[in-house]
Amino acid sequence: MNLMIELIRSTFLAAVPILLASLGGTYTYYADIFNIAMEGMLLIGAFAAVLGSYFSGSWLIGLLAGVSGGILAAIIFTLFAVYLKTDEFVTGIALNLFALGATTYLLRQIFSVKGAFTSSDIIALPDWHIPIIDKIPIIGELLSGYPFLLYISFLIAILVEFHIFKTRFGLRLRATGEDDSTVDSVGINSDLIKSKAILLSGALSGLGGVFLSLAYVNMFAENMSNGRGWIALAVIILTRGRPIGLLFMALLFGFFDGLGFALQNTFIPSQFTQMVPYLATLAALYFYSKQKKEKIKEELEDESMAV
Amino acid sequence: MKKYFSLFILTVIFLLLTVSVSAAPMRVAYIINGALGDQSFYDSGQRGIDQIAEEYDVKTTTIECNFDTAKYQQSLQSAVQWNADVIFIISYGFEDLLKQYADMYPDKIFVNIDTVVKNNQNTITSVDFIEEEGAFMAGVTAAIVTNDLTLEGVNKEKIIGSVGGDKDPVIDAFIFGYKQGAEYIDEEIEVKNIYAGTWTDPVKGKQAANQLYSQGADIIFQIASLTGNGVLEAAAENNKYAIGVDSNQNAMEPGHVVTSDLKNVGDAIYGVYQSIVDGSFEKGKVLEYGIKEGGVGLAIDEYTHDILSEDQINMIQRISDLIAKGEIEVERYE
Repeated sequence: MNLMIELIRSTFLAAVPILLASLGGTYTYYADIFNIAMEGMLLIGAFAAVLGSYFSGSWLIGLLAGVSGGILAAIIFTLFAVYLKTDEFVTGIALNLFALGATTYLLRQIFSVKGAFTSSDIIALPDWHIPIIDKIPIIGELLSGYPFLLYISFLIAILVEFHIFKTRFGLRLRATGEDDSTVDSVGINSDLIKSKAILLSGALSGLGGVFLSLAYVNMFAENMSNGRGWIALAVIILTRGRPIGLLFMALLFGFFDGLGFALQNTFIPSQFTQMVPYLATLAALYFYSKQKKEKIKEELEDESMAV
Repeated sequence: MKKYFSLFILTVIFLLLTVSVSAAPMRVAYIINGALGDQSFYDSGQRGIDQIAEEYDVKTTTIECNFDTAKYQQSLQSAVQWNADVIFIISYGFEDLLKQYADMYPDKIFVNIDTVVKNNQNTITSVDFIEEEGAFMAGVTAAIVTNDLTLEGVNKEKIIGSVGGDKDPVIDAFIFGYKQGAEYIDEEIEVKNIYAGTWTDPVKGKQAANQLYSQGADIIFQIASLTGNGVLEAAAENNKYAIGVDSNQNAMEPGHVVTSDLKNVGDAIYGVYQSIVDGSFEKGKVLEYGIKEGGVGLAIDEYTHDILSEDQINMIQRISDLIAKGEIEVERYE
């Protein structure tokens, strides 16, 4: 396997946790909930997945446990932010800190290890070898043999796009985000819509955690989400929550992550190459905003001409 | 009257306590900036402390700071109040506090582990591990593996790799020694390194390792703490090889982790305590623990024997002995 193929493969793999967490965050973005808890939900999801897989010996139970872990975190968030009306930002911080503390504590209590837990009894998600494509030389290496959750994640991105923009729930969700009192005034419970949005974000972030601990690697390490939830948040703000845009940005981020490593064996200092993914994000933000600005300007000009 | 009586009893108890304290055998405290249970560095130190407690009939205590900077001063203060005579301390991040306390309590023996710390009165003794020597041996092993085409998964290219947690002097010292070891066996060997930029992210470790393997590396030395667990996993998945660090990680991926570069903190602590007991101990010195002193070295066990041949292991052993005898000089990283 040469470096180019490896770079592309790692692009797909590194993109998935960010993609899933950001797809989750999209729901709360449209519901106008400032959700910064994806980081914690990822971590809890990753831990719960290892817990489930280890004790049941089944990756399916592991996957379900991971998703449930994310949902559990989301229930806490919902309870405080929606029903008790606490500050969303503070609740998010609390949840992230709680996730780190709780998983570290439980790791020590349940598995009696600190740092990382590895075991051959943790059953990983199976890889999917696409039947015919798998046999084609380079294309097979590029497209086949990933954990099956990777393919599903890309599918979920399309489904989320559809769910938010083409369904009744999506319309209500976006309306809640625009003005929840109006939604309430027509007899729809906006709190319920918000709760659903948070639960969906928890489930998808939990799934991202499952990908981290049962697919990309097969272990749990303290703080293994390592900022991916925050990157997901940045990606959402960057693309203003368009799922297809998220897919693109997550892939871009995954690519630059790998490229940063590859550039280290050149003349470029490693401190600089570690900045590459973040510089790329800033650059993308710049061009995106510029384009947006020009578009608005054009629209304004069109309007003035119409007048 | 009753009140005075209880006060009297309390005073008596207090006096008895102080007397018993001063009459008690030596007290040894072990202060660590992190926490026990890492199955590596800190735990190794604890084994040394336990050995002291067992063999010398002394009281020992371990104070864990859990990387909480607020606890650093407390830990020193409580060790002093506990009347510790000897304080073994791993003081990353609070070297200045250690200096202050050592200056305030010149009668106590402070032994700083793994870094060199000097206070004004020069009472701190430092135990410094020669990472370069252990890493040299890791380089020797890696070179033997990449040159042995009969090993499963080894390619023709003479490339070996390393994954560091981040760019810092300790990691660069490891890489420096690793390169020397590889070049000692074969000058043509190319060493590729990636700094993962994080110590807690096995996902990134695996990503970095996959990349090195895809560039033709046959074996990777992980020097990245938890990030390195991902390196070991990548070795197994790519059907390649890896070298563990700090503790014996050979069993983590059987058949793929050839050996581990150990740091025997416990042996060093025990050795220093022995020298205190037999009177050869001097305050304010820097004690170097390399291969000769048993401070660093490779973990060669049945997992190594499953991968390497008897001849190869003997060769590794011979080179290690030559370093111990001083016949091979490993250059230090400045």
